[in-house]
Amino acid sequence: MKKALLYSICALFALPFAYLALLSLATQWFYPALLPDGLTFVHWTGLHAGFFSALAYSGMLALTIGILSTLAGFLSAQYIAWHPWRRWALVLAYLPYAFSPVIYAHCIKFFFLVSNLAGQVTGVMLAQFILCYPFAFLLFFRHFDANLRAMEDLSATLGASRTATFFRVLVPVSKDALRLCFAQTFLISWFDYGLSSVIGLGQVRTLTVLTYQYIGEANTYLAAVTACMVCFPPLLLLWLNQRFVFRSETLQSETA
Amino acid sequence: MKLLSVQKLHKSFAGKTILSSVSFDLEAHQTLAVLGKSGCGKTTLLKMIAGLLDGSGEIQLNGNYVHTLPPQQRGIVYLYQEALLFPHLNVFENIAFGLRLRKMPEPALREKVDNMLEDLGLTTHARKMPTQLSGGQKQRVAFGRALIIEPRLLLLDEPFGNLDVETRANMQDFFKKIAQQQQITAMLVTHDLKEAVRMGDQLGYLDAGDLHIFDHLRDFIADPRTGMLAESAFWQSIQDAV
Amino acid sequence: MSVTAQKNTLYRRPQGHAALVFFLLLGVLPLAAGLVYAGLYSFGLIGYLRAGFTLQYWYITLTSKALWASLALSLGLAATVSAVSFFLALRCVIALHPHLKQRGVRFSLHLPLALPPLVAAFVSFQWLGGTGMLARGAHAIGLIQATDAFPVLVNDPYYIGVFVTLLLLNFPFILLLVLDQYDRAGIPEYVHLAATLGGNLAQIRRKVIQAILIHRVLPTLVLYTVFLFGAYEVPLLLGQQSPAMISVLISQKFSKFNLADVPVAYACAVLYAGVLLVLIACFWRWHFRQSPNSEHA
Repeated sequence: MKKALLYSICALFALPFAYLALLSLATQWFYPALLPDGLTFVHWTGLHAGFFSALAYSGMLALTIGILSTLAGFLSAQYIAWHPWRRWALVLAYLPYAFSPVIYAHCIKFFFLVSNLAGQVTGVMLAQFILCYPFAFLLFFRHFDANLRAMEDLSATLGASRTATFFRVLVPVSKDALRLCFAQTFLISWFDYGLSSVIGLGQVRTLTVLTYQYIGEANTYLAAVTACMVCFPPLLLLWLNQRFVFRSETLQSETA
Repeated sequence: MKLLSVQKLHKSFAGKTILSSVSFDLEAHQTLAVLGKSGCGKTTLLKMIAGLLDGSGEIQLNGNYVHTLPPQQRGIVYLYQEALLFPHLNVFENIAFGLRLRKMPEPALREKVDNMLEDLGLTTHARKMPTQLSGGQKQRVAFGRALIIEPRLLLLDEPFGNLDVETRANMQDFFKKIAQQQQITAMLVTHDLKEAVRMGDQLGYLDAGDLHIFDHLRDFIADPRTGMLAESAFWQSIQDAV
Repeated sequence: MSVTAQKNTLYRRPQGHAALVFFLLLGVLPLAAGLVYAGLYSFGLIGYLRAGFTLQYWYITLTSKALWASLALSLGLAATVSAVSFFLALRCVIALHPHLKQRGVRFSLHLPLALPPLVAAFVSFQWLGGTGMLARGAHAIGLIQATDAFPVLVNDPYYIGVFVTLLLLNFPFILLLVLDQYDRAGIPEYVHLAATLGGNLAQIRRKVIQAILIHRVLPTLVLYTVFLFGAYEVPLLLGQQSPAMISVLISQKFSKFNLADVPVAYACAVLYAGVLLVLIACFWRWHFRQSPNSEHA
């Protein structure tokens, strides 16, 4: 019974991906058929240039946002975590972190319009950065705890300069947090629809914007193809991350 | 020969005096053990000497003023209660950390670290990561990492506080042995009476920011604040009862 | 040299200030500026319809049944999804604890984290709709004959489709959170202790496991509720036009061609920010109750 429940949960969680893959390969799948009439790669091979430009936009935005937010969050949290006003900074960071991206986008759209950034990739990039940066800041703020500060002190008394402490201690010790932050901010950008559609004015077509367009057009098969592409990088990141998590868990249990 | 001389060290925080005009001298190759209760300013005193905290007063090391120098240039290593081994480095690399900062040539570095590993009894653990070590082993590596750069002064902030009774006693013996062998000058703060007496060549008592250094062990015993009299009376009463 | 602060000498004040300024400029100022702009717009002080200070748009906003219905719906749905996710997760962890740590199972538990809300909404639409997979299943086993015989589960007045999809997206997070806290809190030890004190199975579940875990996950649960409160893509695809969830309602008002709706939309955005502030204050209260001396907890 327990096993059945367990496997049901696992199957339920895997189902959306399996369904999307099948739908993207279906020749026709009309009501009331439980399975498609046949399978074909035609929806995948017939993709037009718009799809590839959306893929490129999404990839470029997510990579840039992942890198910039992680760096900005790491560097600023490192100092602010010990600033006398740190508690205020922490409280202030929660509001943009928790704010609905689409409402955020509507509130700041005016500034993007007057600076000619609305409808531009750079505008969407800046908007996504100001959305992701508080997240990265909060993640690293918790990371720079008393233990890490003690490690910095120790490194200094062992003779390390600030630069040496940064590169030989802080960065290697923070490797997991850096990787996690990059993955999360990459995904926030990659998954984003509301902010990109409002600031991008529909002109910056990311994969999610394109997916929404296909859904709106009732173009189910192409929507499934783009949805599969939207899911692929996070699944890859998840797989890589799981490998890492399980490896460290195994190491710890062996040494315990 | 006087190695460390501290004059009028003062520290206040949020209107509260943590250290009030602390002055003392420490001879070379000696260990000063300072006893004190929690919150008496022990850690603040050590961190100020190491240069990790601001404050007023003067600190001389081998006759040179060091209180204006940053911690990196003082030649003073401060060791925490936690071993704080760098989690991304194995035992060998943790010990070699300070030597690599000084860009020591590889063959000389390897020889020096290997010798240190032997002294620490950790040769077979050289390739292990910190998570694979016991508490005592971690603390040994922390000592090795500090001692290998030949610091002029070693500051120990309750370094055995996290260890069980048996490991703690072993580590105290180990430190005594290695301190003699390598002629280390050290200052140790602890709230453990037995540890202070066992480890210190000189004894001090820190209370509400005032440090008192005792000339002789008998003065330390006679001072009721140290709790030595109460402790001996307790064990005597047990013995009498038996 | 007199010292008045417990300052670490390695802390570099100029860099600290520079980092704070950077954080305020890029992390806080955009939202603050956006809200100030929204506020001014809603009072008629700026924008296309500016005609001097007026409370007209706020009056429209505050007397709008659609807005209050939207806020109530958003908060209610967010709280319900969080609560149901928590209790489901709790039951799963209690029943399946050792099995949930198997490698393959853990990977499966992480899978929905790779599902964007927009895609999840699309899949739900394909499964719960009138010609969706569930309707086909019902047809195949003879439960229904025509598509209109299948209950309306998307764009439905009871928000069933939205609820199910948000639950699918939220439940795995909460399950992983509860599983993590179950291990960290050392629950088995407490269970053994409670058993030796005479507690029966039901009492132990309610008064030990559930009580400890609620206490530990409550701040995160509040935070997830806040995120769900602002959910957009799922209600956009699966919800109704009226009442709409708050993000959808505000977006609708911005997208309408009626210019008079824009100041009202800004007023709604300010109101949303106010509700969010209250929720975040609740989060902080619980957070600091658990770890009063540490911002790093």
